[in-house]
Amino acid sequence: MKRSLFLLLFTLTLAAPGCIRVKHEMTIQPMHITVEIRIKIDKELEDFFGDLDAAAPDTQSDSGGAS
Amino acid sequence: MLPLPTPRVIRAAHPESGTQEDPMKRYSWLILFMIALSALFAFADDEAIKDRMLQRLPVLNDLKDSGILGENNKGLLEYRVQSSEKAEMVKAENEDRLKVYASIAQKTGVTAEVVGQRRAIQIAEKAPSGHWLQKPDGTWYKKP
Repeated sequence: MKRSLFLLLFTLTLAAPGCIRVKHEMTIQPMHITVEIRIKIDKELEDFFGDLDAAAPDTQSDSGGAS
Repeated sequence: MLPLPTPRVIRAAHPESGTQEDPMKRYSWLILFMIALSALFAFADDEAIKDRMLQRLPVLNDLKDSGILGENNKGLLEYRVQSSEKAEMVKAENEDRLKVYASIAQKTGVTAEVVGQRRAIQIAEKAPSGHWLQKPDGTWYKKP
């Protein structure tokens, strides 16, 4: 009796980890990627348009004075 | 007891061994050269677009100051009133912007629309007061 109870507990202990599911990665990873890509896009845009954006106020004041 | 024969290393004749060069090695230089060349062309194209945008900047700014043009939520110029003033220039500017967005989209693995939307946010932040801007929900407002 004692032996069969021990065997049952032992089997349950081995089987239990198989039922555990970790869902953390599924929810956190997409958020992380989205933010990372946004930063990457913003940096690329800044690299290209940075000079043009910096030049915009100057040209605006020049043209404002002319017209 | 008989002595065991000493193992002999028999080198198999390889068809590509000897004087023949590895074809992968030969073509890798060509591939590298083509990549470098395409990068150079892309850089030159980017610079040409930037130059064109810089030339259009004063005229387009005047149109934005006068409220004829606005910046929509796709990162493109849009007429706020019924007008065709400098229509060719506006069209060319939007085409160049789309080229830049497509190029960044390719680099970052997103669509050009997403890049345009991010640019629209940047434009809204940097725009001077009085310029017309479109919110992500589609409504227009004059920057205070």
